[in-house]
Amino acid sequence: MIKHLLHSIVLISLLSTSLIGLAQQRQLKTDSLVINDSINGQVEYEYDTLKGEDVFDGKFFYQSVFTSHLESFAYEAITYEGVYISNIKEGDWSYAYKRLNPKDLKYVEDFKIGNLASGIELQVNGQFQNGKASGKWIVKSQRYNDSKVEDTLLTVRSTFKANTISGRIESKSPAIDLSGYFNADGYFHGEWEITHKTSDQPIKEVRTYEAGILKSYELEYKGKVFNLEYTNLDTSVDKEENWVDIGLQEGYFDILKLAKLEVIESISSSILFTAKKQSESTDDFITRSLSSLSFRSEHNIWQSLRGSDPIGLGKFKVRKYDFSSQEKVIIEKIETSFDNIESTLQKFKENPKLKLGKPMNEKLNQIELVYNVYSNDLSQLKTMVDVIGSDAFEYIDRTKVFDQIWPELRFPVELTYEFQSELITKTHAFPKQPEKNNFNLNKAYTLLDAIEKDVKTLNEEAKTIFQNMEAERSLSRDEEKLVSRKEQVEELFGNPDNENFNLYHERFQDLVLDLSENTFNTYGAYNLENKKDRIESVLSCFESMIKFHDFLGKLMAKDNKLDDVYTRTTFNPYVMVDMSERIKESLYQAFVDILQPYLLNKLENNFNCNDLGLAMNEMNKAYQKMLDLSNQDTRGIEKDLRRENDPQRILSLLELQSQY
Amino acid sequence: MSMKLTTSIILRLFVILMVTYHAHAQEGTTEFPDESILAEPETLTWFNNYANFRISDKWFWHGEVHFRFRENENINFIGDIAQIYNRHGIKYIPNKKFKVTFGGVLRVDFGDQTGDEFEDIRLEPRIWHEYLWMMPFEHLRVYHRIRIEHRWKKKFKKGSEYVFNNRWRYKFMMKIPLNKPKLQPGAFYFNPDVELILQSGKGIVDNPIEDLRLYPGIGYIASPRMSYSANMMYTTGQSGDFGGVYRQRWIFKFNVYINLDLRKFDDKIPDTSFYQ
Repeated sequence: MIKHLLHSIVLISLLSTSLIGLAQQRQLKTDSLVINDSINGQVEYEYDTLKGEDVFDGKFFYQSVFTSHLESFAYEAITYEGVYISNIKEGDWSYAYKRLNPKDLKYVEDFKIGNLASGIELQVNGQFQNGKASGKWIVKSQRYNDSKVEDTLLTVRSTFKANTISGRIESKSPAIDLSGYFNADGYFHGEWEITHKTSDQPIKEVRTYEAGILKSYELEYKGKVFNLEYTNLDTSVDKEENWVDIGLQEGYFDILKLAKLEVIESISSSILFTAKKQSESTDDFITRSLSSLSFRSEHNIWQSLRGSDPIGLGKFKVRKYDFSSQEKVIIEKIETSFDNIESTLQKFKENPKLKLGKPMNEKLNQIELVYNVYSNDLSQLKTMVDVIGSDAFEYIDRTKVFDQIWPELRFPVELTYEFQSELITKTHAFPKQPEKNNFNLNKAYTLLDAIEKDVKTLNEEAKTIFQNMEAERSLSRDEEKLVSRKEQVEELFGNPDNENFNLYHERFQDLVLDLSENTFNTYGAYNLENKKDRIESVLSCFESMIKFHDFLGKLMAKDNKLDDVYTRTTFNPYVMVDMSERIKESLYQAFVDILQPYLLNKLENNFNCNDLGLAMNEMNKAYQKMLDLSNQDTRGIEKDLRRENDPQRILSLLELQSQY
Repeated sequence: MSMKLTTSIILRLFVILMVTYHAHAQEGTTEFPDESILAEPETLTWFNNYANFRISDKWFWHGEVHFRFRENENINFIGDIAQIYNRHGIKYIPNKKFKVTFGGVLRVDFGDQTGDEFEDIRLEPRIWHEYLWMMPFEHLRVYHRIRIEHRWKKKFKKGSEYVFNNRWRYKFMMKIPLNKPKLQPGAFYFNPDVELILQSGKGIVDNPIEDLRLYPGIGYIASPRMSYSANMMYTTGQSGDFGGVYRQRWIFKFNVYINLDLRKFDDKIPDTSFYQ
């Protein structure tokens, strides 16, 4: 009995195991995968058939090798290796980024042949628990020569708990060693020791943090210990102060740069310089060390793949000096003013008309000199505006920072420039230089606003000069055209031997030549301003006269055409001859005998620039109307036109309107 | 067709006809008098209406109606009705220098002889076809026309049988504008016109020259659709009873020429535009 029971249990167990095995069977898939929107690589991953092949589940390996855009390297390669559980990173993961130059030496491994290579590799090894960084993490950056490690450029060792960096961190490079600590909340905490491995004697820094707040800062240099402090940075928390967390990536070290590092003890400026230099170097190293755990350039290496939260890389606590709404407005105005000043000065300098105009316009020389004064001070103003406009500006004690960013402007009392081989000296009302002692945000704005107004006023004057230069050049070109048009009119109407000269040309010859002469002479008597205003209409008048010549040339053809369309040709089979006869005779004769002579007389009696175009238009419409009517039933019109001699009435009957 | 070819055809026809005439004359020599007899002239007046109706680009309907009067004992020229003459045909004008017409004629003759043995009216049917060549000159036009008629003719005497014969007609005419540079509406024109009519057939023994017609006239072109002309025609030819007798006629002719286009309006006038 027991034997049977045991057999049954064994059998059931075996069956269950087989079924579970079948149900959880993993498959391997190879596919292409694009990361960071542009890096194309091959991925090999396991998936569970029950969850679908799009769900990473099991081992994961990604590799991308691509031609490098970097000057010093031929190829770059990225690899990820780790484990997913239902698309969530779990367990050990490694990331490697290589920059490679292949060498001529070959190697064979299994049945693959390749080249040895030199370059640099960054490796990040860490663990994840349910998609969160956890456990020990190590970063190594090493230089390779002929595929062998030659040097280690960076080593970082740290610990994560639930995605938060905590506990000790150690980082080493050929130049700096760093040892620090994060508390359980991920704040910089305790003593951070930084050793600068300088050639003569190591420089040692100790920064002491208390839950993210920098409490003390020591520097040991040549056996002496100096105390450093950031004068604009608050280090003790009081009530009613706003203290906020600032992450490493959120610009903490930018705040330090504005916070003005000072050595409390009296020291030489060379030591102060060294202290500041080493401090900035430390800031960069801390940033580099911590960033290397999760960033390569701007890419978050772990967020490039699915299945993990962004990793916390430590944080600080700083006091925030909130901007008032008025300060916000002023800061925006300061930035806008500076941009306007900078772009106006730049555009003026790059304007090609400046060089052309300077020899003729004294004012341009003066403006250029004033702009040069502002341009020389632009870098100081830019420094000031950059600080005021920076995100870090809200985290420092602004009452202490303005004397640091006060621009030391040197506006001259007089300007001396050369114009047409003469030295000219003039004064210019530059804005008043603000005093350093009580310089503040409002005064910074007042200064920039005054400069902007001055630059703008001068720019308007310069624009007027440039526009006048352009107008004069344009006028000169137009006047050349005018002379050419006048000559053309005289050639067209003053030459009766021309084969195109017809009776109409002859009739209007004197009128056109008189109009041409009078218009030209009247224009010539104008002053420069009037000439600029009138040149277009005068040119247009001459254009009309040239068109009028063409119009008259075609008038004969139009007469013939009308004669033709108002003539019906019928073949007479008896005499075998085509016979022509006038059709719509009263209509045709009303046009030929009354309307057309009337229109020509009217033009003759009102021959001027304004009406010439209208007259041509009016006649064209009348001819076209006659042409249109030739094919239409006009019995009604013909009946009304019989014995009609009034041209206005004829115009009305033909549904034409007098144009002038 | 060229003018040279036209002249050549006319000359050949004339030679053939003259040879035929000589053959007939020699056979009947014994019956001829010593000299020909010129009959007293007869006077007539013809009112003629000529119409052409254009029915397509090159095809026309040709229609003529003539009212012909003759003298009687009381009145010269316009005494009695002599004939009502209907001539119709289809005309084809391939170009402006040549036309050909084919059709039929029904002539109603009114008799002038009294007595029971004579009919008052007789009908004379004909089949006709004509060919006209026009020679254009700068101001005038010259025309050559050959008209061939196949007719069935009988005498007024009751019981007479129809006798078939052929008429061979050649006409030369000119139209010369007098007051205008060309033939156009408003133009008066001078119209010299000569026609020789020969005949042949079993019944034609000694009178092959039926008629020689000389009729200068004056015409007026009122419009491309309407013209008028008037002629005084002199004709002479061998009598049907005896070849030695030459009859003579003086005929006033008053002619109206109507020319109408029956095509659709759109087919007549082409589209035009000034500015294209």
